[in-house]
Amino acid sequence: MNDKLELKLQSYLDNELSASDRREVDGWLAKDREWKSLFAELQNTRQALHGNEPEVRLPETREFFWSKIQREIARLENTAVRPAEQKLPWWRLVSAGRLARVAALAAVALLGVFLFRHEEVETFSQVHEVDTPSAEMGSITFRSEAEKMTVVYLYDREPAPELTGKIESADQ
Amino acid sequence: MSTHPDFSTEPDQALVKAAQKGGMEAFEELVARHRDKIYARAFSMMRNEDEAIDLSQEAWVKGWQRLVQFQGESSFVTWMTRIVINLCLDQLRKHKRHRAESIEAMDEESGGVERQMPVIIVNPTEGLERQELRQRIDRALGQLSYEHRTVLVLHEFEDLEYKEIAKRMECSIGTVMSRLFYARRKMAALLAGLKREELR
Repeated sequence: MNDKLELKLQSYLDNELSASDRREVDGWLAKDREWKSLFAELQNTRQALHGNEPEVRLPETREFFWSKIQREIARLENTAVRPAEQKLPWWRLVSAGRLARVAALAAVALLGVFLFRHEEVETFSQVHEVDTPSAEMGSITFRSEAEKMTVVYLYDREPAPELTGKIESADQ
Repeated sequence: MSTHPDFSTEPDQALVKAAQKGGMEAFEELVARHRDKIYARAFSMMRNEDEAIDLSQEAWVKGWQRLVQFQGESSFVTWMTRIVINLCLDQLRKHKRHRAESIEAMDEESGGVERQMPVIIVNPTEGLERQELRQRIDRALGQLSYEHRTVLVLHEFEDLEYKEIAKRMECSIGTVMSRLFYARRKMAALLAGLKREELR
């Protein structure tokens, strides 16, 4: 017996041989007791296993096991949404509204600081007004040298209750 | 009074269709119905309760995520079993990478001591009650190496052909044949050993 022939015998048992190879193995089994014994051992093992898989039960209750699955599904579905949101191109974020308002607010505040610090402004009138044009938001800036105060008035061109009429001030 | 629909009498196909439309309750019923079978397959391959629970849970989550791809070519439980088998095989590959080269590992392909084993003439399982036979098979499976046990489970319990096993285990058909041969021989010896223990 050698390895290759033993594997051929097994293939015979598992119906994985061609018709001519099957005839060859039939010949060995008819003549040789050793082949016959090995074949019987392989066959007995196969028959013992067939349909006799050990019975095992999940050692957790239906509710507990399901709750873990449900939680994991929810977690994965949440994390699957977040990266998509983060992958928005920057111009989409700019037009998303919130960032536009924050940018406008920052621009107006910077302008206010610039005007406040600019020495030439002191030679102008006591009350100075600057109108900042923007598609989404408007602002009016008052500078009073007498009061040493700059007032920036922001308003939404499309009304948004949280910003309309809000007054930002920068005291000296 | 509960407003949940009663899915307990619905066939699997109807539950799958409902779940494919996003019905979580239908999917829950499928889990309840087949959780033992999916867990049993994971346990038969891993032989570790915690790992089998985790992998069967992971299989159900993957099942939910891929449910739209299920076209009904096989039964739902067969489809789920394939998912858990693949997860177990991935896990076993990870174990193997972490395992140091040993005499046992080198012997996997060549058969090691199984090569020298005498042929078991008397059928060691003859006359056993089914329950007793299953218990012995369980004990014997627990003593096999991962490679021998996996190939035996896939061939004898899942009825997969050599070619299919080779594809799943990412090895050659020759390796599958060799592993199966020595797994069977070792199994025969282990079952005979259990019979001798009984007679003592």
